[in-house]
Amino acid sequence: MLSVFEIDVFYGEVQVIHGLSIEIKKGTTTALLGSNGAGKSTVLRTLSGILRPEKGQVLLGNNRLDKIEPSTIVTKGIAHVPEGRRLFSQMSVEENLIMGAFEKKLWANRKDNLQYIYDLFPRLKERRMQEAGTLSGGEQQMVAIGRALMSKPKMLMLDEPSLGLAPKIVESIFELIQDLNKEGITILLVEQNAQIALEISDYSYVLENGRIALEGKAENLMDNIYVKQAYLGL
Amino acid sequence: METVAKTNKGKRSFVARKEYWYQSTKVLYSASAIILIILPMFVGNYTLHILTLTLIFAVLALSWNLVAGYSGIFSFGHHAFFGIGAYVSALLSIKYGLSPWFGLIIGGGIAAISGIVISLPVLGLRAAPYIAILTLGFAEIVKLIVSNLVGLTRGELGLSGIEPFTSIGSISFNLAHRLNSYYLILAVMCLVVFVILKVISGPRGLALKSIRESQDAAESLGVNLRKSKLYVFMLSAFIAGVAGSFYAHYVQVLTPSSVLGVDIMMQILVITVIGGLGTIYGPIIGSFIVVMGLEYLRFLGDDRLMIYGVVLVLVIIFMPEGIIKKVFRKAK
Repeated sequence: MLSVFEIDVFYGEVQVIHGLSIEIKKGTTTALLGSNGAGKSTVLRTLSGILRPEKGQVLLGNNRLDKIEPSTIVTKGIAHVPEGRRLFSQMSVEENLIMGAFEKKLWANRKDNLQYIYDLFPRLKERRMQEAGTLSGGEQQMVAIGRALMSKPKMLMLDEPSLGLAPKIVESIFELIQDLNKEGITILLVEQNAQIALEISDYSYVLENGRIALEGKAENLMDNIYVKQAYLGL
Repeated sequence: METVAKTNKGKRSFVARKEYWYQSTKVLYSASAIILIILPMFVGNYTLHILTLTLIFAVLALSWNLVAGYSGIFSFGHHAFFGIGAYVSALLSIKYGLSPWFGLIIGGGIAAISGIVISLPVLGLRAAPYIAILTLGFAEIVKLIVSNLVGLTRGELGLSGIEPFTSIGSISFNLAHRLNSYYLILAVMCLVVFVILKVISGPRGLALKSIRESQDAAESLGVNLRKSKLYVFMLSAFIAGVAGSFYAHYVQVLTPSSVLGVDIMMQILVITVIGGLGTIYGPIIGSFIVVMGLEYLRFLGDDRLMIYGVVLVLVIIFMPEGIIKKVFRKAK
């Protein structure tokens, strides 16, 4: 569905990603693992158009994603749940969700999509008029995911959805991610919590200093002694 | 998501606090309607004048609030649009005999164009201090131009004998009929409130608020930052220009310092912050408190400015969200 071919990404003068290629198959869950500063978030930011690769290509089917306006990428069926959620904290839950359908092509369907999100998260319906910044961490993550789902994406990219959440809530967020995957949404997951990410993913890449250090089916990686030492802390 | 729902069940931190009858928004709206419409019929010319000035400042603060309160762009050159509206409309009526009614629109229009001009360099800036300096500098330039184009504006001598609004039938708007002028600015203010409510509740309002919260997140969701900022500067400058034009034909005398002084900007800022940034009714209530407060404390001489300062500090410490949100929690 989405293939990244030998991209180089820079922050100013500093090269963060070196000739990275990944392949995400339709309907699968792919995990991008690695320690702090490995370049995981940078990859997601490049896929959603916030950053541009200096070299290489990002292909969705036959479309070059790295050549179109960042604001229209969301209409191609790719939605991004950014790290740290990035909610509009002084706007209501409902306003936050509607922002997910702000792009012109999505605006017309916002009411139906809102209903879909409320069916998925009844809790958000209860709190629809509350300011997003006053919600608990778990609820804020629901709003962030809900906002991304407002564009009815074919592929959902999640950046550290477990960040700063209680273990129990992390568990339910990952259950939700699996449910979404079963509904047919392709998932690209960035996580530091390798254990849980490997559990739910089909295929994984381990990033190190902006390069792929290791890749493979999740169950194989799980057994790989190298992963255990480096990222699972076992 | 069942588990999340369960784990949070114990946390009902948002049970509404008890609300007293005087805090309901119905009371707020009906009381303000009575005060604004009926009371002015029974007051003297002096009070009527103060009320009119209060509403002019309310309109001005409402327009600044669009940029600062809703979009989070702290422009400190808003008084320039007020002054431009005032001078354009006054000069058109003096030099070309244009009806002040058209002046109201053209004054607003020219202010809107200058709003677009000043927003162009602002578009590239994200840090508040630079935006503040840039906009403040722009307003100073406008003031210097107006005071130095002596041939056109008579400089610091000012313009006098500006025509009042032409009568509509038997309703005239000269200084002998202040009540009519009052109702005119009240109507303008209601229209402005209506327009702002309309904008804020629509997609544009959503875009502006999201820009205030996080420009990056807004952009990644498809908000066009440039267009939204241009739009909000244009609209708010237009409203400020209309307020300026009304002021010119109401007071009928203009000097650069009376409409382009930086103290006007301070007044706008204080009114909006005291009333409530990012609210509809905040700037109106703030205007009543600040403009009327300063007027009725006149007997204290310059000491009143001290009280003004103390009130401002107290408001910022104890109700940073403004008076309107403190007293009427549900007010917009």
